[in-house]
Amino acid sequence: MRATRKRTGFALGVLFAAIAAIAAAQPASTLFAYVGTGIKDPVIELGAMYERKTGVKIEMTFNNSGSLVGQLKLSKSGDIFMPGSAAFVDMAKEAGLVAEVSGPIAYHVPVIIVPKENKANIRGIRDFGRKGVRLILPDLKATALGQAVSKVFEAAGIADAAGANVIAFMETPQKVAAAMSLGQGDAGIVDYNAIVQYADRFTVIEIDPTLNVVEVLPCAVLSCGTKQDQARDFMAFVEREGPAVFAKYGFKAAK
Amino acid sequence: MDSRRRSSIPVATRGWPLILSVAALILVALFFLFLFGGLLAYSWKASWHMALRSDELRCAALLTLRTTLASTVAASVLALACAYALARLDFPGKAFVEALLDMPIVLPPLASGVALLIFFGPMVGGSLANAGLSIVFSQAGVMVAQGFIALPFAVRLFREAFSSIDPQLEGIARNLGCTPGAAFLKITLPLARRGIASGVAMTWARTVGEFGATAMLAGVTRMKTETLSAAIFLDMSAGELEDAIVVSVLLFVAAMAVLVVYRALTAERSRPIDSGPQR
Repeated sequence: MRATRKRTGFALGVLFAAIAAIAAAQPASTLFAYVGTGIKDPVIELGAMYERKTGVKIEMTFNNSGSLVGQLKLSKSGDIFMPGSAAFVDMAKEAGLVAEVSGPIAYHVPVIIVPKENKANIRGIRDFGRKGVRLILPDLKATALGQAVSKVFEAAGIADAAGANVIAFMETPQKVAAAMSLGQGDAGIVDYNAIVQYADRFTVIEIDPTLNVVEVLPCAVLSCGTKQDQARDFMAFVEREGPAVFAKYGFKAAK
Repeated sequence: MDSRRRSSIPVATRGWPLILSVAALILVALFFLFLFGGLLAYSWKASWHMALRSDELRCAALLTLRTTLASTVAASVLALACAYALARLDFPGKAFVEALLDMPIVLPPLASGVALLIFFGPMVGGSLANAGLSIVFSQAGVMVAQGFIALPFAVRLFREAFSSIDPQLEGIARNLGCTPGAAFLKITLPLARRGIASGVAMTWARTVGEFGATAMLAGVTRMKTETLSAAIFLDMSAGELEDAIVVSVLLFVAAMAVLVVYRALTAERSRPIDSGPQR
């Protein structure tokens, strides 16, 4: 009995010590950034570069862009906002949370992925309307890429036919790729960086540029932040260094 | 049991532990009340009539009701069988089996979802398709994912219920001429009914909130595999915070109503000493 009590006491002590250590380990200066999950890798690298250069740490939270807007509206805190498309910056702007926007840093460009064997013989976006093709798409409303895809379907005149071919909508483009690498579907739509990210798993087919819709990736400074000058400095850094880093990860970058 | 016990506090439990416990209960309940009150208050701003008239929302609500009921029944039946063996038997590797069954609780639902998609996709998807069954991206997939995630909760709670019953009672029933089946159905199951009832409620509650595994295995196709939990996620993803809150509040009200009524119907009065009939 006494041994148990001692052990419990010890465990609680360790827990409190850990919490205290974590609380004490915060660097002197940090910025807080809301970042879209789809652009996580290049933004993490940009954050690390910026910290090496200035000593200012960029803390990041990742989520889909819409949820980031929700978190932002409710918490009214943070310094930087980098969602998956300009539409989400506009939402934050409407709520009076954006001080300044820069960009585009890079672009979200939808591309088609098909399994290497390409049994359904997909060669372009118009094949999405062909009967019997099984499609997996990012949700047409809840993802930036999906919003672009629905405009592409309209432009190609295949909105109804392609809609009928969809076997599943996923909540992110990344999950489209995940489901397809597990052998589901004949064709899917993901971002252009798939060319680098999934080259070994899929054949990537570009969408006819006359039909394709491109989303810009902006960077915004939030009006609710208390370190606006520092945040503007980071935004300028991202504008300068961002395109090269995004290009490295396979994104279509701003020139 | 006399009717006075409901209102009066038994002498044996009076004292500072009970006072502390009551204080804690009041604080926690108040916190929860304010927390969800805040959600309700926030939803005042939202356009309720638009949301309530939406076909998508009605479809999601019906799908949620259908799939959660089916997966709760299936998971409960399966869990009852597993839990009885776990409560009555000791066997080599039991700790391993128990830990294995806990995994859906430990793992993020998304990881369980990927495992389910691997199993029902590349592993057995072909054979299932030949048998005319499709789990991946279908409403059946919604139920499979919900049932999988909720099963360990059911097993744990049912196991507790069975463990609290003295196996000697079954022995006595057998000595008095009961068959093993009759002893289980007439003695064990009725004695465990309270634990089983609350286990079923928890299982259902877990299926309603399930989202990660369901989204991976069944997708979030609107009007097809979009449950209310998925609808909240999709609304949030689209930046429609107010719509997400409206759906959350609807889910909250419906789940509260169901659980309160269910608990009131299945609850027995709490007893100061919970060990069989009172003298």
